[in-house]
Amino acid sequence: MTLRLLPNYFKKIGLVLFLLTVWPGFIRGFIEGYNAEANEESNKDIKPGETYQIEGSTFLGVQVFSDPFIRLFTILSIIGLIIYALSRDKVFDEFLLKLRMEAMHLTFFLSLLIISALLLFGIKSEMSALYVIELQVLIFLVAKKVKKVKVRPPEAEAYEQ
Amino acid sequence: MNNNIKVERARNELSQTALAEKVGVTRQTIYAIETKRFVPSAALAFKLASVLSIAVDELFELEEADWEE
Repeated sequence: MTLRLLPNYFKKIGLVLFLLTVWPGFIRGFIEGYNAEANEESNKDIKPGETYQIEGSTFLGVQVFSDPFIRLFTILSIIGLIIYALSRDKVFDEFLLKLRMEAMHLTFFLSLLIISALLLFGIKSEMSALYVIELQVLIFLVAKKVKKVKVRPPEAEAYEQ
Repeated sequence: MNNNIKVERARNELSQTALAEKVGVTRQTIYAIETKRFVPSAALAFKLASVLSIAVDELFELEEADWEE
């Protein structure tokens, strides 16, 4: 891929921007899932900040972040990803390309596995596309880092320096 | 695939870092080739051979297992 327009340090800027802005969306996703589940069980219209007693358990309807806030943070997290994707690597060679491809392969395989498991076990999921992409980015970054650490050369040999 | 990079590098008194810089790759890549975790492309193999002043077929040699793959 030749579309690498930004200098290497933008990689860190993009990643930091992504990691700083991705969490409100994740938190809201959990809250929405929780509220939807609680609502389904009780058939009550759960409202933000109110608690409900359902079969001895307490459920809480919460709205932590406002919609404009979530929208802004979602846009910023996507911009962070774009910056990360468009940044050059410090040194790029065929071995690092191979590691990257292996990490992408693993990411694709795990995504497929998760989606297959959801379908196979009939788990109803209303996960948004953004969550899937964010999950894939996280799997990719972790897989690439692990692969890089695995082939890290040992300390310098006698004739190294 | 076997290779004699480590031996030739020592003969040329080159560190992994120095060799990596000369052929335009990372030290990780040189280490991966030396430890047989990665088989380089033909272009990189020719570059390595050129820097180490040796023929490519002297630097790399096929193993029996390579024919079975």
